[in-house]
Amino acid sequence: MKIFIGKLLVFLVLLFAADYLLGSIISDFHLETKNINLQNTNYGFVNYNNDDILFFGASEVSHSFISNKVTKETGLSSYNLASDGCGIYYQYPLLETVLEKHTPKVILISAYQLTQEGSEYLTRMYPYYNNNEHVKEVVDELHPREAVKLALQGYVYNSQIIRIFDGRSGNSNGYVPLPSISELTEIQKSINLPEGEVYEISDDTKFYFVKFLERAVSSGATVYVYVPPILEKVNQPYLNAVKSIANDTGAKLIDFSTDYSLLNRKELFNDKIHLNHEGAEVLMDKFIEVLKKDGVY
Amino acid sequence: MDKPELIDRLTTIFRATFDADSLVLTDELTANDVDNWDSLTHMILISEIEKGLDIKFKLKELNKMKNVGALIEIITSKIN
Amino acid sequence: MVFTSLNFLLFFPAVILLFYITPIKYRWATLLIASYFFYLNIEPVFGLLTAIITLSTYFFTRLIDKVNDDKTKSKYMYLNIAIVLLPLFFFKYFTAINDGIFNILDLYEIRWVLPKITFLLPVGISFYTFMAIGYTIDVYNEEVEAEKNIGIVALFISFFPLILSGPIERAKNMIPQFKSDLKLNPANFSIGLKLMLWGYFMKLVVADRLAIYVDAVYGNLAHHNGDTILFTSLLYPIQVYADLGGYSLIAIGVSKILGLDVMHNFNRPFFATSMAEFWRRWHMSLITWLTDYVYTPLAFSFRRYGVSGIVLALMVTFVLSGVWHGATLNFVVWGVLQGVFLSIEALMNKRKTKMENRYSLKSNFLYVAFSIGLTYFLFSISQVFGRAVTFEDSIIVFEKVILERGSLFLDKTTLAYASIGIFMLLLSDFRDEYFPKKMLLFNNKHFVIRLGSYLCVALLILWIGILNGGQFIYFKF
Repeated sequence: MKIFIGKLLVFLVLLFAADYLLGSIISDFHLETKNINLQNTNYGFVNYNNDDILFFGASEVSHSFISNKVTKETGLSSYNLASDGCGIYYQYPLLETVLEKHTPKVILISAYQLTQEGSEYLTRMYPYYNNNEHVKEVVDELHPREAVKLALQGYVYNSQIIRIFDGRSGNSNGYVPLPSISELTEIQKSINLPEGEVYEISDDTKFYFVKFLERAVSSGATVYVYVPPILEKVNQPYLNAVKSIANDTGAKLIDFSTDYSLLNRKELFNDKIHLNHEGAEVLMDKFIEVLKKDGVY
Repeated sequence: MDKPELIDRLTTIFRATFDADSLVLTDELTANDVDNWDSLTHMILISEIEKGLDIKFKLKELNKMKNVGALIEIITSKIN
Repeated sequence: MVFTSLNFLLFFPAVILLFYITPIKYRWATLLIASYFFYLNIEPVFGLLTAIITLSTYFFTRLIDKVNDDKTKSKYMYLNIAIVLLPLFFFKYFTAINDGIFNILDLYEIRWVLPKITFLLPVGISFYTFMAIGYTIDVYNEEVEAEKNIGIVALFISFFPLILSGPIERAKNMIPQFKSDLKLNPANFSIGLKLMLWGYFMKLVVADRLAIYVDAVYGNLAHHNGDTILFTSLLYPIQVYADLGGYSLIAIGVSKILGLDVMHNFNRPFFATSMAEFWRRWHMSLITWLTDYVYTPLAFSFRRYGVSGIVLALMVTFVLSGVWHGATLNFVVWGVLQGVFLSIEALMNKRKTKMENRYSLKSNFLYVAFSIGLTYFLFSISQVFGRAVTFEDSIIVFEKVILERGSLFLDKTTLAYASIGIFMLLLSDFRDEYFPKKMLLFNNKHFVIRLGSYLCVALLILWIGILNGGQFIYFKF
């Protein structure tokens, strides 16, 4: 039995060593990745470089806000920090991390953060868990036992390897353009917009969303809650719920969902809820006007 | 009926059921050793033996037929 | 708690430690306490079910042993089977029956006054119910003696490695082992750990990864084309194999570490060359159970009808097996389909054997490969009814597969990770099937190769296994 336990220990020690070694190699590649989603995450949590105008949200922001165009028009540096599929538990620690370094002039967050359910996307922040107290705080709060598992590098970078080496080309300050399409694919048709007579938002999501807005407002930045334009219908109860939340925090609501110059214009969309590049250009003109009106530049 | 005669008649039944012309019965022979001897053909075998030897098995006895030797023992207890 | 939870990874070492410090004579009791802790941990009320089933089974098996009259014996046997089946029927089929009544009344515009009740199905109930029934029948058939120690009977019914999803063990194998001197020894420990490691690999690297893709397609049938659905349906059997097969291996490994030998549940099913052979390799503990306690008695009583009696017994058995999986029309069709495949095979068997012998086909590589492919394909067809949620969905699957062409929906990352796992799993099975005891890795005679292969598999589980909810197909990109 003693020999066996000895062998078992050798195996465990080697496993931890191999895991650690692999982890330190992968973490370097992770920081240098060309994958645009991971690059944006890295930029926000690690390499953030004092930008004036910041965009937070998921895909409806990352494919709509052309940061370079905003910079060109306003003369203010800008970065699109949005990441596909990421909800408010991602945005909040990201905001805290950014504010630690510097206060931007404008912070924009998508109202769709209130519709994002689940917390699966938390795993994207695991590489920063050990060095970022804001990430640690949120993860520990939501999933107290992850701390144990995160001792293993394989868990930190679980299923990330392909993504790390799956680099796409040039990152233009976080913005990712989408192509135009002639017809919605079946899968795109299946994407559902917020529905229902009464729109219920989960308490946890609302709590963090409000916390995000309050923190952003108290930093002194101009804060916008952005309601994206959509191709078809707008759900009024949902819109009212968003409005009431934004109003109480001192954030400004910019609602494009009822903008008739965007509504029902297929040529500006990639699917029901995502603008294509042409749509993003139109949106930016409108957004820059808002900035001007509010005296941001 | 003595044992050699019984084995003779059983061999004929086995060969016909499993389509194996050269099959030789031994006490240790089990379903694993014969192609096509599965739970489906087993029941056909049982009913052929019942018809051929004019006996009736009980369900309980079925569970005890672990090999050909056990089968012969059960049959012997019935015809004598 | 399930095997893939962090809880289990803390629970199991604690059980081993407790087991080790308990005097050998009482180790079964440690296992019993651990088993109840394990099961109550899921839902405390469920413990009542195992307790009731244990009490009833213990009581009636003792009675069967005591009385001499065969009629009374069989009366007690049937009585216990009825009692043991009651909870299963209630929990598994009540909702289905209730829904049925609800819908029929609704057709006549009568609103069912009682509210629709849905119960949480006690996990594992189908497994331990079958084990208790098997034990009862075995006592009646004098295959085993009725156990006098109620603790051992309780352990047999609630033994934690097997309680959630089998293998469905037999009293004849387990009870003598529970009563023997249970010892920890390094050889068992090492065999058990290897089984567990490979089980976790199958479950986390192969099954759970494939599930992401299969769920994405089957969860949204209306929006996927026929080619994608065909591709997915052909992958699905591998998911089921890796899922249940992996989970069974963990169960067998855990038992082995505790010094208990549990039957294997899968024997490289995808190398079967016929449906009959397939069912001798797939979910073996369920199939042998059904063969012994359902098919054989039925076929025996139908035997004077010859082949048609056997076909009938086969159909009834598989329909029952389908309904055991779930109380839906889909599973009934699933069962009928298995019965039909097997019956056709049985009827063609003589001709097939003659043809194979005449052209010596069994050693012909192409013929064997074709038979394997055909068997897999037929099983995939039947599994559509196992995966689609409703019968209407299953029909949509076949309609689309036949009529609708289109480009494949490929989630590259998910499929890339999955193919690493599938490749390793099938390669390992291929080696064991055609080159047994050769090119061994886990059982190589050199320690370094063994160690290296454990490390590789463990690292793969850690790095690309599905360990949390973080892996999902993000629909858009």
